[in-house]
Amino acid sequence: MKKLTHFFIFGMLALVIIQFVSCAEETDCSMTARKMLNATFYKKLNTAQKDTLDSLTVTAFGTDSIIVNKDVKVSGESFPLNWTADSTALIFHYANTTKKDTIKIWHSNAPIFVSMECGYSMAQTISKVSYTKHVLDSIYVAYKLANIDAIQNIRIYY
Amino acid sequence: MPYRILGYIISLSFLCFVAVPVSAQQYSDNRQQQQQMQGTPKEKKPEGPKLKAPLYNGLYVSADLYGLGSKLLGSDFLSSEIGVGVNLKNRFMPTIELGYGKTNKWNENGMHYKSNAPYFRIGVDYNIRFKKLDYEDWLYFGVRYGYSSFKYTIGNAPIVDPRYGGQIDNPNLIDPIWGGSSIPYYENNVNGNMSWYELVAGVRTKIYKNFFMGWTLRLRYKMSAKETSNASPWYVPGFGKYASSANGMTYTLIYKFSLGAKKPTVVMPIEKKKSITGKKIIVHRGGNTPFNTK
Repeated sequence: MKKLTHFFIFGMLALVIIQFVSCAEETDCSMTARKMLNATFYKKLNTAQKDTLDSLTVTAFGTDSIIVNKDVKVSGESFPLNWTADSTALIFHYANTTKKDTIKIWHSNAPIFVSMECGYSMAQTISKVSYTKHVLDSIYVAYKLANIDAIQNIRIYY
Repeated sequence: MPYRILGYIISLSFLCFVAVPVSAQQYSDNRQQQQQMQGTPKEKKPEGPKLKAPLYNGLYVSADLYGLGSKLLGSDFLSSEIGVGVNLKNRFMPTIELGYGKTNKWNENGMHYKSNAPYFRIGVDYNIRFKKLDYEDWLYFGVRYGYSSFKYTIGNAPIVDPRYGGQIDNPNLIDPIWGGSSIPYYENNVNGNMSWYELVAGVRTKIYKNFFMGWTLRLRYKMSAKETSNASPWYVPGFGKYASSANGMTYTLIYKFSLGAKKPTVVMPIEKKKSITGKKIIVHRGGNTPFNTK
């Protein structure tokens, strides 16, 4: 009888340990955070030096979404890419001028299953960039994968 | 509420396990101090009889009930397994475990994961109570190597509007900025495999004649796994939820086939004493006797 009591106590403790360990393992869904296109602004005349825009507003073409709202003294920004289309158009509004630039990014979308708790993440790969040159000068694609690690994807020269 | 009650029970159990030995230790220390102050020599505890087990002690066949029970209690996974172990010297138990794991899970957004496959584990247990006279009761530690090769299917059901028509192809990927949902996601019969090792701690006790039952606690660690670029597995049969580590438990009913197994013998200790003349003499307190298991 004594050994059976010990046996069940061991089992109960084991069960509690399992429960505690399971509760401590919170599901990490950081993998499903939205991956972004990271852009950095540079001066055209000195390509090594970052440019700082006095004020910048960026809107999503075709929607009323404002992605960047009058940010001041910006030298870089992160932009979401469209999950449901193969291209994303962003409109850049600058301070002290009515001129705007439109940047169109062509990309692929591939959903990746992460887990039943976290759902999917979307892998997006940039294939091409087209743009107007009203204010900006040129764009260089440095890294094709949209990411959550703040890795620079495009350089925009002014 | 049940967790709170369980918490109280555990607290009481810890009190019993911790407080009583501590007070006993304090009593023992005080007594030793008293003996030292009085100048009496410390009594040496005489050695008790020990068990000498033959090499082969029987074949143990077990069935795990925890996998079935946890499914009935709401787990996403169903597993069932049988194990076969050979008792060697009442100390080692080489074991092989064969099982089958299954899951068929839907989430609230219509995401579906399905997989079912066999798995196996192989390893050995070490009984730390191998000299005890109640030799059928084991407290043991062990290791396992596990492997499973499996296929899994991940799908996503679209949500159709019955009133206005139209559908959301992938409700789990609705774009909050541009609107709309991504294309449907369906990966059918993706091949996967995984190998892992387990650290095992367990107890086993005799309940009636050749019937036993046992608990084990298992910590599992991934060794290698096959992953695809867009669909990692979520469930691995025999391992649990796919991750670098997982924990598990088994509750097994065991039957012992003792055909061909010899019974262990009890070895009585040898006392060494000094005679009056100073020569060492050896006194046998008893001979080797077969152990009566009744």
